[in-house]
Amino acid sequence: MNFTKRAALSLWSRKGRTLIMLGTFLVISAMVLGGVLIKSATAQATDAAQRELGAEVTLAMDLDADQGASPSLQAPMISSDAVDRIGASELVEKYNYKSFDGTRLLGGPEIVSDQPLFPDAPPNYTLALGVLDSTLMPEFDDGSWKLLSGEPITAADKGRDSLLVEERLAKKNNFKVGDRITLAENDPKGTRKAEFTLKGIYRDPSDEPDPEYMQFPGDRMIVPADALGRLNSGGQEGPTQLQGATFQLKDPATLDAFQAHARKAAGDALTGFKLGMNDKAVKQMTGPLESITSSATAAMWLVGGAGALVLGLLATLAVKQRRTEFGVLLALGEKKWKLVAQQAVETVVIAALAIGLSSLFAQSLTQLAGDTLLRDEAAAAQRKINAWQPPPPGSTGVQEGIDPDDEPVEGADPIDKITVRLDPADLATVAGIGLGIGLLATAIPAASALRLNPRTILTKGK
Amino acid sequence: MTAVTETPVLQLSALSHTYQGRRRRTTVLRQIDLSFERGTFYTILGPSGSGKTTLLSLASGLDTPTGGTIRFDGQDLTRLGLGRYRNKHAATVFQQYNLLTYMSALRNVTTAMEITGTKPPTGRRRTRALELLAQVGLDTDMAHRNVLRLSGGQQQRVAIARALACDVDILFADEPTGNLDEDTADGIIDIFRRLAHDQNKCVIVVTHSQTLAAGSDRTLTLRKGKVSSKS
Repeated sequence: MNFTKRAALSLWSRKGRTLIMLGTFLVISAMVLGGVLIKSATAQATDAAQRELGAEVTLAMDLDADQGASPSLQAPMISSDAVDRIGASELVEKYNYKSFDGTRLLGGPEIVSDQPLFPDAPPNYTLALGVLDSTLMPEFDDGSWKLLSGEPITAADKGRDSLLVEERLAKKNNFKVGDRITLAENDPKGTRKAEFTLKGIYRDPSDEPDPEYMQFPGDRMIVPADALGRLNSGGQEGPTQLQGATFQLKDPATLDAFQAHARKAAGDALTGFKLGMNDKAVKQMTGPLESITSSATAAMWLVGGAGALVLGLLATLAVKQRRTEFGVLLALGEKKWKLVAQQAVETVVIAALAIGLSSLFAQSLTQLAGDTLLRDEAAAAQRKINAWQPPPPGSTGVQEGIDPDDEPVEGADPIDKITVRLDPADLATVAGIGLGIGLLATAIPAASALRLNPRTILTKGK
Repeated sequence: MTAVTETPVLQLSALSHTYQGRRRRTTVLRQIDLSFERGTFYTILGPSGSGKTTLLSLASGLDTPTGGTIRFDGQDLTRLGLGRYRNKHAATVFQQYNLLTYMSALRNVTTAMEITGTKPPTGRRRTRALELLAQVGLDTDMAHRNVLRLSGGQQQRVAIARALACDVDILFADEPTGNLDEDTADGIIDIFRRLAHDQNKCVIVVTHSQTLAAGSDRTLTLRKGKVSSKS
């Protein structure tokens, strides 16, 4: 292929022009590679954060759902069968039920709080949370609640009347693991009751009523959801009705596939519910990453675009300078495609050299730039977290302009480090972009020069 | 260029050419009928602006005429293809040398051989190229120099060697001896003559030089786009 030989000779002989092109290409490829590496590193860090926190999908009432002309005052319920069908997906690592209902302690034991849960609450009335597996409750998972004695409630407790109580309720009533405690149904006029076996005693260090149920935490009980359902079913048979569920995915990236599976598996049972990734902690951790990713992307496109423009101008000038050469070669009978190919080979060689060179230092340079940018962003995010104050006791925060939803998640510090790694896929992306820019910048002026015949090229301007 | 008795290697019939300027059209060649034969060394004379270079460009396949036809060995050039004609059958020595400036003299010659697919009967292309460069008075040292480091006359000789290297049927040259000293010019004329007579090539040279014309087999003169005399 004589045009490759000519390309090599041309590059070697025109060292000045070759170096200018190489320098321009080097800047473009280093910037684009830097941008690609930062995007890749932040994506990996986000993925790692999601894995660290777990990809928890919550099935809960959809507050935004259109309820039509006659909205129901009743919160939607979903059967445990439907949740089991969703949880059977191979995408799901584990899942948990979520239900709650009122119950009454019978036979002597008393609740800890002297404040009734609501004004006309019957004596010793409290709330029980229904679960499939207590270890999957976020409070046990993150360690804020601790099992002091006994064993947690697990899927093996399905069909059994097992019970976990908080340390303060156990102390007040001298409960011990293995004790049998009688619980009555929610309705004070009802007669249904069941004897639960105390399976474990746990500790919730909080003294404040929990924000969701406004219940004193020392009186909270945890039972298998089906046991709670049976107690409050009013004698009706059928699957347990739940307020919601949580699903731990094996891979956070499969959320879309999981949602599709859930819609297919549960069908109409999902009406009134929504499935959403509980990603508040992930967002808190990855906020600084999003910021530097957008900065890096903007810089990448800006420099890449400007570089491509400069490169295009350089290529246009080079092709204009080579009109005579093209004319001579055409006069010798060289094929036009070989002239374009020669120009393309020269561009590809320069691009490959620039991309190869940039790959030598882009990783360390990007790591340095990424860490510097991220440190500032993470520090700013941390300051914002530290500055957050909860609303005063008894206040919703509306008057103070505080949104309780903005409360930072504990144990989810903003990420302040990324690990930049150069992998072949990133290099291939940059090579593709670089070659595309180079070839386009070459092909357009070359094609315009080749539309002329050799005599016009050779005599132009003479 | 005389009455054709055998199949001419190159035949121009009613050849005309008009340049379209921004404001006006200029007719450079008008209804020219000429035939060129193998084994003959032709010179085309004429004052500046008479259409000599245009005639050479059209006949060598560098440009397409606006009127008339050009036949090579009886075949219309437009059917043969100008690119193929230039690649296999015609070579041109330009007045401005038109060498590849990023190459040595030797590489210019071997590149032309590669493009035209010329393979020397004996030896390698490089050896043949060195022989041709020596024929036009360029030694090995000069052959290896970049052409920009050669004088105008030496570059012209490289251009001639390059044209000779392509084993074509017709050799065109536009003022090939204009930048050469008298001895070298004589040598070049001798090469052209031998090329025509010994290798049965058709050599067509555009020139102002009466010396060169005197060394050729046949001469024609152009005036105002028409053939004014033949000898």
